[in-house]
This record gives sequence, structure tokens and C-alpha cells, in this order.
Amino acid sequence: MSSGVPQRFLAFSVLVFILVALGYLGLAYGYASFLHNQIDGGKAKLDELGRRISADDQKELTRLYSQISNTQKLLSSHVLASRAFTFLEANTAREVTYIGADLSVPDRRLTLDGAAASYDELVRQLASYKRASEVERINLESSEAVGGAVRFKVSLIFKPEMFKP
Amino acid sequence: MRPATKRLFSILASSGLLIGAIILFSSTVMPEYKNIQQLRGEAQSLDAVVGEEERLINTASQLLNEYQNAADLRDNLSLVLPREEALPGMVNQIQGIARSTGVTIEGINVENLPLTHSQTSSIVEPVGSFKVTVRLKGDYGALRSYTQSLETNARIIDVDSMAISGGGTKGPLTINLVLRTYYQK
Repeated sequence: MSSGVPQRFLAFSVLVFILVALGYLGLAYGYASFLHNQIDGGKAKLDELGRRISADDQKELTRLYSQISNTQKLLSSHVLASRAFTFLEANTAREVTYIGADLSVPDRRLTLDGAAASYDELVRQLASYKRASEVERINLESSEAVGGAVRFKVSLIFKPEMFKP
Repeated sequence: MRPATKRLFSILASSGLLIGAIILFSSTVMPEYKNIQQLRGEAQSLDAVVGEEERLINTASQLLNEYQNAADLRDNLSLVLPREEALPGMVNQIQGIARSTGVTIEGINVENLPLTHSQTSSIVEPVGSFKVTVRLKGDYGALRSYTQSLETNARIIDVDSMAISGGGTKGPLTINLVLRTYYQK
């Protein structure tokens, strides 16, 4: 082995050691400090942004947002119960009269207490309900011939879209 | 010192330095590099949060300015969904509609129902509601018109149920309406 080889090996080792040490110092005291400063700056900016809208304004904004959101939700579930009147006007035979009516919008159920001129008229009335596109189910709960008329009680279950705007 | 001894020391010192460099690398540089990676991730996500927050604050400020200038919007929203119970106003509306449609109110009962919280967001303030039972008298046309007017009233009113009696006679009809109206707590 010539005398130059160990010296070059030593120089190489010293260089590697110095590079590793410099790399550590650069990471620990250079780049890490830079990143810490960047993070602190970001946090300070967040604090500053948080103070830009006052607590009162934040509350007002929350109330406004809530009002819009709640209104939208309530309007989407708003019901039009008066459609039951429109339905009865369009689907009641001439010789049928109603004595009472009971509507439950959540159940979509309309119970009608009425009188028909005859059983033929009652059958025509039931057929008319059956033909109506709004009706899902019909149930004739009772019927009785009283005097010259037929008293009946019928319940109609409407389709879900019946009362939706 | 003999040249051979000198070479031996030189090789030993070089090896020691290399081993030292490897130890230094694995015990300090590697952990520091991992730490740097974490800090970089934190800095990047914070940067994204700041950007998003800035965008939101700007939008919110703009919205607040527009809202404060738009008194109509504020008033209209409060008509549709008041920010308080506004019970007298609600009774007044029910009575006013009755007067304008020609039906007679025989009685009003009001029940305050529990608050309902929104499922979708915790920010949204809860909604309170009243169950109002109204007993009315009037002819068919007036009762129909009354119900329609309730449905299109500025303050949201839902008809839960109605029971009509007195049909088939010459007298007026009686209607029991169960209504639901709302306010924001």
C-alpha cells in the first residue's frame, strides 16, 4: 500500500464526518427553525383571522345561517292540507253529501261520514275514489240504509305526494 | 514514529471517523429528518387551514355586509321564521285570517312543544314549535279559504289535522284545526 492511500482515506472520512455533522446542524438549527417560524406565523394569522369578525357578528351570522337552514327544512316539509277540499270537489258524485270529515295529514288519512241517495250511488262514489290518482287505498268502514238514503263512513289513504307543495 | 505505525494509526482514525459519521447519522440526522417531515406536514396543513379560514372569513364578512344592508331580507326571514316565540303575533295572524275570510273563531288553544335540534349540523340553532288548536265556524267556502290562507301565510303554518262537522244541515260548518307553527330559539 502506498503512503498516499491512508491519507486519502483519512481525508475522505473527515469529509464524510463533517458533511454529516453539517447536515445535522442545517436540519436542526436551520430548516427546523424556519418551519417553526412558519408554523408560528400560521397560528398568529389564524388568531388574527378569528378576531376579524366580532363575537356579536359571529352570533348574528350563526343565527342568519340557522334561520335560512331551518326555513329551507320547514318549507321542504310544508304541507297543503287544503288539497283535500280540491280532491272532494273533483271526486264527489252529485247525489252524495258529506256530514263530517276527519283529516290527518301525517297519516294521509281522510275519513268521510256521508250520505248517498242509494247503494248504486254509493258504489259510483267508491268507484270515483278508486279512479282518483291521489288515492292509495279505500276502506268502506260502514254503510247503512236509513230512511231513503244510505249513510256511509269511508276512509281514504292518500299517496305520499298528495299534500306536498 | 515508523511509517508502518503511522499508516496504521491513520487507518484506525479514518475508520473511527467513518463509524462516528454513521452513528451520528443514525442517531441524530435520521430522527431530525423525521421531525422535519412532521413539521413540514404541520406547516402545510396549517397553511391550508389558514387559506380556507381566510376564504371563509372573507365570505362571512361579505355576507354580513350584504345582510346588514338588506333590511328587507332580515325582516322577511323573521316573518317566515321568527327569532322568538312571537305568540301574540301568531294569534293575531290566525285571528286576522279568520276576519278576512269570514269565519268565526270559537276558541284557540296553544301548546308549546319541545325544541327540535337539527341533525345535520351542530351550528344550526334549534327550532321551537307551537301546536295550536283552533275551533271555527263558517260556511264551506270560508273554511276552505281560511285553510288555504293559513298555508300561504308568511309565517310557516302546517295543518296537522282537521275535523269538520255539521254537514248536511242548513247551519254553518264547524271545523277543528290542529296547526303547527314554528320559531327559532
